[in-house]
Amino acid sequence: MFFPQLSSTRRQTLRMMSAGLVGAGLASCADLIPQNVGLALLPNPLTGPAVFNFALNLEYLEAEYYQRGVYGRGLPGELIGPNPGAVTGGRQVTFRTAYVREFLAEIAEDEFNHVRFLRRTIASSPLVEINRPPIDLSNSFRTVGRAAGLGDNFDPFADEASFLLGAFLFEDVGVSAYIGGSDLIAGSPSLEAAAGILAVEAYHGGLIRAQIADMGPAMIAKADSISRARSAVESPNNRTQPVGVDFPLLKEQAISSGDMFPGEMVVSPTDAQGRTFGRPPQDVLNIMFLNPDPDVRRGGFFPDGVKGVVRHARIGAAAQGKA
Amino acid sequence: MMTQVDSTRRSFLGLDSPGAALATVGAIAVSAAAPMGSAAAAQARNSTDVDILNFALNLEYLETEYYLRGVIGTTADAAFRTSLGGAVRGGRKVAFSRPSHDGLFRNIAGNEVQHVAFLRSVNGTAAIPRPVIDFEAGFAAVAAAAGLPDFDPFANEMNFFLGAMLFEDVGVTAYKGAAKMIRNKRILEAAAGILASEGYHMGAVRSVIYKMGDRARARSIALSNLRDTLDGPQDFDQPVVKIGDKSNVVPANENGIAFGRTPQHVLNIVYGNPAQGILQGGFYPEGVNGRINAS
Repeated sequence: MFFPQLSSTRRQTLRMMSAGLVGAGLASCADLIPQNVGLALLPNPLTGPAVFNFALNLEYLEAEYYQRGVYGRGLPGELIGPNPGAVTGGRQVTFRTAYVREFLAEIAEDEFNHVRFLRRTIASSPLVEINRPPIDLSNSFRTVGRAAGLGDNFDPFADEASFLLGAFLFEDVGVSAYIGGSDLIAGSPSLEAAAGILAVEAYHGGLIRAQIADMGPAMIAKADSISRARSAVESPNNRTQPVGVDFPLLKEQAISSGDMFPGEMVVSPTDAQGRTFGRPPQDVLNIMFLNPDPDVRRGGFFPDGVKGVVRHARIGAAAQGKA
Repeated sequence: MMTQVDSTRRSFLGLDSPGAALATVGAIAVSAAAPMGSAAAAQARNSTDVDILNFALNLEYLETEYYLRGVIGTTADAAFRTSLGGAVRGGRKVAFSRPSHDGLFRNIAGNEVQHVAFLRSVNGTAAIPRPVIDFEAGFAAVAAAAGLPDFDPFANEMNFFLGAMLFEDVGVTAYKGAAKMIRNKRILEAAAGILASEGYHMGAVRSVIYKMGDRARARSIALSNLRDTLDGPQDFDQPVVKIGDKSNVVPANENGIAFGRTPQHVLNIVYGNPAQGILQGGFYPEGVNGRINAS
């Protein structure tokens, strides 16, 4: 309902099915793949460690969010590097529902393990920076809250429902970032591990969306408004990219926006081919910095920017050969 | 803090003694062994991207029919308005207690329809038709082998969640296991997107199983143990359980990484047979279609 253009994409699939046109109607995406083969087989400008270094920034953010919310403390000293940036904001959430706390504690452990795994994997590689970047969990969420129409003082640590909304914001982005990075590390030994982390983030995303869906229309409306805010800070540039992701219309899908089957709740945000959206690094950075400017280098959740080679949107674009 | 959610946890929890299940599985399996045990390995080595997508399409046909029948009360042939291939036996509409349960399955059903349409479209004239699918025999075999005699996924809501878990956890591991075999980057990114979609589904479904409580969790243990018994000596599987003060909804190792399965191990599970070189059985009484078809 909030994304008429996306809904109509999904409606279109159903209509084509009803008309027996699926094969013909979707032929365009089949065509796209062979057309891009030549470009797709070009060597990568980025190595596995550089991509994992980029991912480590996101994992630090998620891990600090969940550690603070569930346990009231941050990552231990041995996991944040010799010269870590400070973390602003975040505190232990008072959980009212046992299973919600148990879910969030499980996710906290997975994200902790991702940080540890990525650090260990890239520690000996050249040109990586494994210090935790400075992270803001306070002003950033107030900015998100204002953009989403949730008031001036949105605080995801205020209660368990708010904490689920913050988790909703992060997990979907994490999933799309690993998908968007998958073609960068094709053929690399890093690919299998990245696919395994991607799967875990997707399980998290489905878990979080299912809880929100189960909490009723008011909660769903809040999540949908965060989804809209998230979409608003992405640079809307994919339509013109020659080697861009091949789902150019939208990368967001709110929980209540599905309409292939009436009553549908979107626990799995996908394009009309049933594929979860991928985001190239530059779009991920625009969301993390809460700023659609392609030249932005810091802000939002990372007030001093992110660590590693892929550290602002233009470098992200260059890494994919799209600058 | 560092309580590891890893595969060794299974032993700690005493979950790995499904000896009786193994015996039953052996008995129910349709024995149609390939001539050489190495045939499966050769299939894996020589497979093209088309072969891999066709292999995945077999699983997507199965999932699509499961959800369309159980959630919408229709069939893929009716939805696509054409016959997609082999006959499908079993399945009927399930009643759901909450709008969110019905809503999440409607989303999943839609996604699976899209996966079938997409994979058929990408492979074009090389796309395989739907193999013959038998939910009745397949689930009867699972029920016997898992020690859950009344396990009919279409009989009630809890069982339908568990049947979804049985298939789609495997789908996630199948896409993850195939990722390194895919040569074309565009195909790889598409496969990553489908993998994630299936992961979302299972995160939602398994969280509901967790909330359903002890009986549902115990059944997830039985099904997870069955899968683990069928797919070789390694532990690629985790049930929905509570460990200490945490849930275990997400199947992941000590690095927070999900498991992958080779096509051969996937076929062991859907054929209901732990042996190598098996060509049919379980949910696919005439085997899967395409060049990757032997366990």
